[in-house]
Amino acid sequence: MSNRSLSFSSDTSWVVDESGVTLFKAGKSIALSPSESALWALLEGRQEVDTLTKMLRAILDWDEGRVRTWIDDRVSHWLEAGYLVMEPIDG
Amino acid sequence: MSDRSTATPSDDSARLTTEVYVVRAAGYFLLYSPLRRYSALVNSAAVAALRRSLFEESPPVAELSEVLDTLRGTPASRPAALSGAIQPDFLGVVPTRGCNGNCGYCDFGAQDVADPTLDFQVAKSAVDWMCALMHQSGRGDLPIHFFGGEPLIVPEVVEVVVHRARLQAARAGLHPRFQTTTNGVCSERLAHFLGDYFTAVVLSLDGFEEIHDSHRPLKSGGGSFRQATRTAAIVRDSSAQLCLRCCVSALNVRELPRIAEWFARTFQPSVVNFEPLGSNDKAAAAGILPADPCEFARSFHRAAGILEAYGIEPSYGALCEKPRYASCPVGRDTLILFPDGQLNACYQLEEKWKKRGLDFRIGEVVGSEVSIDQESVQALRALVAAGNPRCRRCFCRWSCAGSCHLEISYPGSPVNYGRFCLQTRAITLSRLLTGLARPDLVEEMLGNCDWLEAMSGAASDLIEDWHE
Repeated sequence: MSNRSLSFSSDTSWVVDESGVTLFKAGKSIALSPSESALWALLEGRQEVDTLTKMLRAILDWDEGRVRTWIDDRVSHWLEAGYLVMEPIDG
Repeated sequence: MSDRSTATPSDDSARLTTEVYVVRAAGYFLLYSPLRRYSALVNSAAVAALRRSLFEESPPVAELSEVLDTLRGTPASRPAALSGAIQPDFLGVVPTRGCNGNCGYCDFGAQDVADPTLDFQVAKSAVDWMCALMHQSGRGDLPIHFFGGEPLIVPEVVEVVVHRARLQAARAGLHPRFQTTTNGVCSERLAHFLGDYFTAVVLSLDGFEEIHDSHRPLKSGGGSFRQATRTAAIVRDSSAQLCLRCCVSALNVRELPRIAEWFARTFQPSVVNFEPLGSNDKAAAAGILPADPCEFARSFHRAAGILEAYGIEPSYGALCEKPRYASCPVGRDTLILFPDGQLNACYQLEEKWKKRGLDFRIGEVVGSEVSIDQESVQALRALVAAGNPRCRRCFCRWSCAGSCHLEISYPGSPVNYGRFCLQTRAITLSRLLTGLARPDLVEEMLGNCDWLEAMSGAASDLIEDWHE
């Protein structure tokens, strides 16, 4: 992620309720699973992969390799679906 | 009541079976039975007649027979004593003892201790254990409360606990309920996080900017008012309940009605909690002194009336409508997870308990293992159930319940009512009279607090000890 950072797409909104996070985009909604909801929420606060991995290891009770693979998979999917965008960092 | 006839004067447990209290209230007497949820205003002749009927088996006065029947009835509201395996009221989590504030009155040790941070895996283990216990015990919720230091200076720990608990609660079919105490000095993102994920946020706000900042400066310099109010506004506009906690000193005690009005109009909180500052060396050195007990009671009464007009609950820690054995976490089986993995019944520093000769340690978390010392749990239950000698004849016994077992009702604490007791007795009496639609009596009493000093010498409020 050097020189570029992830952002939430400007046409994506989301709500949090007890069952998890639901994304809204272009008139469609998608309910994230509990583990995806956690990742989505954590991405808002930080993008350092090491920190994210450490936090998600505790939250999901998975080993490091599985967490890293899963983060890559979910982020790629959300980029492809347009929920996330990759933006250059100014300067 | 039949036991009364065989009781000896020194048999304290038998003497206390009536749990009916009489408290002077202006020209009247408040007859109060908290365990029967009963209160009435009567004159001295009625108290004397009731006392005779209860204890000397004289025939009841016809007009008082209904009252007598109530007072002789079974105390249906006696709280059940805890027994068996531990039943935590909630899991407390202290992510760190560190704090970004430098409050003039803080004696919580945040300035004096190194600030280790709670390990993610230890936090996860505690959450999993609590979730399994709540599921097994048939409770439908998973209550987790954060304390500090300031929990939000280590947001990663708070977020790990919240997301792990949500995940586990979903698997177990439980409702996660998160509450935090905070000074509100955090980023906008974290303020929105509280609003999105928390059931209740207890935010410290000591009044208008000048007073708040004199009470609650930041370590980095300057005051915390602007950030605290910004966070309060974000929580106000969220689904979380906002509880504003105002520490009351001699500096702001007279302002409580104005503060209440401002809180109500600006933040629309669910609860406003006014807690009086106790005396401590740090506060005294900063020129922040405790409020006069009578002044506090008077100001609290007026502020409470304003809040209630807005539909907001006024709160004071030693007040509770429902009878209880304990008003602090100690004695409610509460588990507080410290940053070093200890599980304790109290969120104060261990050094403080030790000075009082108390041990609030209940267990520990090491890696994925949670261990609970059931003997310690039983010992704390027994300590709380025994109560403090000072409280046994006080009409606030079942609401204040001795308050803090570390600062107010520790073993060997004074047997006479102190400052805290005086204000608690005054506030409790004013609330009971307000409930009886006699605000005029409250105003009369709080207008001149000589009676309060007289109350301090009252050896007993129990009707059996009453003298005309």
